Amino acid sequence: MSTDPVFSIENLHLRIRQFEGEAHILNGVNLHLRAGERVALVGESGCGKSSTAMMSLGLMEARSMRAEGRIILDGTDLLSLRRRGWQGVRGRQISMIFQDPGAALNPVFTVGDQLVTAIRRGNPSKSRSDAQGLATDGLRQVHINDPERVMSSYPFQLSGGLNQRVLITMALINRPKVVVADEPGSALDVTVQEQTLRLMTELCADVDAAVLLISHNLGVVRRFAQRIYVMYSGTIVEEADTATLFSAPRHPYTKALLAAVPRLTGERLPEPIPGRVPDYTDPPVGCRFRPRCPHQRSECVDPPFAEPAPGHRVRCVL
Amino acid sequence: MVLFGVSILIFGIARLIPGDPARIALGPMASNEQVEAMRDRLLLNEPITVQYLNFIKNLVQGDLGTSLYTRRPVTEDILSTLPATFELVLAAALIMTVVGVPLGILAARYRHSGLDIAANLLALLGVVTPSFVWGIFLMLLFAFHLDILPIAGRLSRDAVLPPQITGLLLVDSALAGMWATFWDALRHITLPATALAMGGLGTAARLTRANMSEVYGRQYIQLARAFGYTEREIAYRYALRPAMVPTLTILGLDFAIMLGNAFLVEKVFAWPGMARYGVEVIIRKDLNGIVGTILVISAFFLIINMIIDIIVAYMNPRILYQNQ
Repeated sequence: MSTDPVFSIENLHLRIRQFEGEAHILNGVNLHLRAGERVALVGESGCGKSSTAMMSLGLMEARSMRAEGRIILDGTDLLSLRRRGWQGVRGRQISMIFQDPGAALNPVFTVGDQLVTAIRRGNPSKSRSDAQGLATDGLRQVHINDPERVMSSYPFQLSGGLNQRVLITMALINRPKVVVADEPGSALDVTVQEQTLRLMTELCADVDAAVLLISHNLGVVRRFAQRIYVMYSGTIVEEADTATLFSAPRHPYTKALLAAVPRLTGERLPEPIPGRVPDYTDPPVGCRFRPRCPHQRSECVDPPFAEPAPGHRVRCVL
Repeated sequence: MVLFGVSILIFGIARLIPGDPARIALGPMASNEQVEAMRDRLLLNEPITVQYLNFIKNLVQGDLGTSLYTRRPVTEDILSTLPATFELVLAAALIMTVVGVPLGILAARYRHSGLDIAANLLALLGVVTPSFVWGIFLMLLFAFHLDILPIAGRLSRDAVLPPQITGLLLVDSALAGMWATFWDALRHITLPATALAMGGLGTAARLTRANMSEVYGRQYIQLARAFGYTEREIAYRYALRPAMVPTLTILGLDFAIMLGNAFLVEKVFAWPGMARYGVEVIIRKDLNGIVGTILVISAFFLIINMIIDIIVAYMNPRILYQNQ
């Protein structure tokens, strides 16, 4: 495994002007993925993790939005790309696995049709029958026994689990370097979600793709990711490898998140985090978690990143 | 089945219109005996059920009775005027779809742009302005002031008539290879068809825009973008088909409404269609004429809707597979 990141987001800011004022959605996000690495981005709803995913593929669409920083994929800055440039990158070098398989496939085209189009978008030189063969093989790889039937079906004729597998196939079929997975399977029941993550792990290893998993579910993240970024209110507050993060979390927000997970042993009830995600149009100065933090003090105004161990970085004075 | 219901309804309503059809047909100078004799001949003195059964008996034999206005069989009257109206409505439907739908697509693709606003304005104007007003306006502008299109009628006086095959002049002249006549007919149909299409065109554009905008918000469009499809592919391939499903159903209704509006447009452009006949038969309380005309229009309406339903089922596989 090389140590050079294949994908990195550097100091990404995103501001959207709204009626209520300018919302500072992303406030200097930094993260990187090495080739073939499985990384998770966790945080509660509205913390900016999905915005980060959307920005990574240039799918953020809002009038009067302003983005700063750099998103680098294999040496090119994606933020500087125009529409045509994006079209060359999406689906070939970076792709996405969507959250709700029922909504992410077009209801009026067959699964095969959509797979073949995705393949030929990536390789325009491929013939239709070649693409069809490739799609069939792809579906077999996600353990679909009767790919022909699935190919000729419409999405609404298939179960959520099957559609999810189709989406995974579609995302990986052009062997991208990076896959962004936005809470895959969270719209499905837990067994299917488990299966989804297993398949993703398997296939990404096959094509050596790096995965950025967006999730709010710490249980999912613990089993899947090698490294974790914790996001709060548009900023990365802590990053560490999975074992370290779960055994020795440093940031009060990470600790609070872990304490909020319900446990089967049931010795104590999960502890909710008091307060709510701050208002993005008027965020607290400095550490945005400060108003909810049990340890707040005057130095919290602009905490630097501390590095208690190599690869473990935390944005807190504690 | 539906036609049967319509026939009862129309039959009843036609007889509710005040005025004695026999008296109107014979004029104020006719004697009471003459009027009575005619009422007897038309079975008007019989109970309405007998009248209706007699009507149905004739109908299954393809006979709609004799018109009191033209004194010819109603079927003959309708057959001689229907093709002109049919041609006009088809042309209008074509304009409505070919201009309205792309206008809606462009408006949806470039939302809030100048083009979107202009399309919206045109659509609103199309919807709120009655078709006969459009007719007069277009006539004044293109036929009178600019003088680039003929003012009225279906063909020029000196045009050579093509052999009658379908009754649609454009089709017949094209089949016969008579391009001069084709061109003449095309020039004549442009203004009335456009006037007739304006209302439906507005609806088509607004509906397409609304449904396209809705589809643009769906996740599968985002997926298409995430896989590098061009905006053009997304618009015409991935968004249009789902968006057309609800749009088409309404367009089918619009198509039928055009038949009603065609009466007024035909009047404005002196188009030799069913309009003149339809209006005259109502004014003269020509019972057979009224029932015949409306029955034909209903049948037309049903056929159009059936065709639309088939197209919609093809566009939306969910409908096809639900019935299996």
